[in-house]
Amino acid sequence: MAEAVISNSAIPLADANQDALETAVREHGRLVYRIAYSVLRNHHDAEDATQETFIRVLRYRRKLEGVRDPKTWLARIAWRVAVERGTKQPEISLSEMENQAAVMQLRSQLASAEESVVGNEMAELLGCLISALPEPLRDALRLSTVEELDPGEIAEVLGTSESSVRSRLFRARQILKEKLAGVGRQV
Amino acid sequence: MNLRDDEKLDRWLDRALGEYGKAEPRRGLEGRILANLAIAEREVELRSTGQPRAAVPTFGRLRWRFGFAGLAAGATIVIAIWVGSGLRDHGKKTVSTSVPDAVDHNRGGALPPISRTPNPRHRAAVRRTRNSTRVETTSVSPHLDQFPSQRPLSEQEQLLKTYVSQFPKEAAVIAAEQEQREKELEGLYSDNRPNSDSEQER
Repeated sequence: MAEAVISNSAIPLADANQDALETAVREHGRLVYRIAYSVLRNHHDAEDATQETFIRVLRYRRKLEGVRDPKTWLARIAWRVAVERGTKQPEISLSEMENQAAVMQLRSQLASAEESVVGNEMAELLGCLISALPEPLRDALRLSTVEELDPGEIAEVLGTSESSVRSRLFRARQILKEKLAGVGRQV
Repeated sequence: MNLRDDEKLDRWLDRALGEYGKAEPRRGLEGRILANLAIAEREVELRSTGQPRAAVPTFGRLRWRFGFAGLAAGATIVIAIWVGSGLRDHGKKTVSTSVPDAVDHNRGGALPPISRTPNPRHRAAVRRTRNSTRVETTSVSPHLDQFPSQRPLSEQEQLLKTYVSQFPKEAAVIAAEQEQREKELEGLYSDNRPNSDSEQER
């Protein structure tokens, strides 16, 4: 179904001229970067993946006559590039001290009524918890953190239905909450 | 976990996931991407038209050029050495043919006159080798240390030596006559040579 985004309708990216590609870069460069960053969690790698995404677009644009939804099409390419690059990277794991600091921070934030900023340790702890999720849930959750994408577009990128994406997001959040609650109780 | 905690955790998770997804690229990302795309596009176009990637020769092409140049230089050196050794061999052959003449001449000419007559071909070879190398020049005029040889004179030679020392005038007359006779024979030989050749051909 994701292939359905390709059609004969006129869109900027479908034109094989430089202006169309430039427009795509200016309009969707940030989206591509954020998708890459959601997977790779590193600015340099995310930028490299963004470059690679647009170079792939450059290579394939002659073969493609038209793309109905360039945003989703680009997001899909960016996702593939990032996942390919992400499989080559080692898993990130927190040290014992970082884990303790994150748990303490979580407890204090949950205890206080005010909405404080999530610290670095907490972000890393959350990253580790997300990495430990089952792949379908993890992919949906990662893409949901990119604010430019709605569940329908995430479904297009992942090649599934929107309802499936919503279901996966709900289950992923449940698992995360349980783990976070468990971490809070352990301390 | 009670309901209040659950709500708190939900809110916290929303906020944490929001920050998890927040990522701002470095300034000028679009410019960098477009610059790289321009380079990549040029490469793609060059590849599709079959033109070389760049005007600057690559290391691969330079390597081939250096290889050919080295091969040509090596071949030139080998040919030069071969030609040089060939000329040297030719010079040695000339020495071997010219030495007996010198020896015979010094000893008083025991060989028949026809053999001392310089062959035109041989003369040409000697001239050519004289002009081309130094080896031939030295070979035509042999070392005096070696010629005449250290071999003792034979009985006939000793008699001739005694005769010359005792009767030098007569010996000089005989030598002059002999030389004149040789010249006459040479003239006769050169006159009869074309006829004999034509007879052989018949």
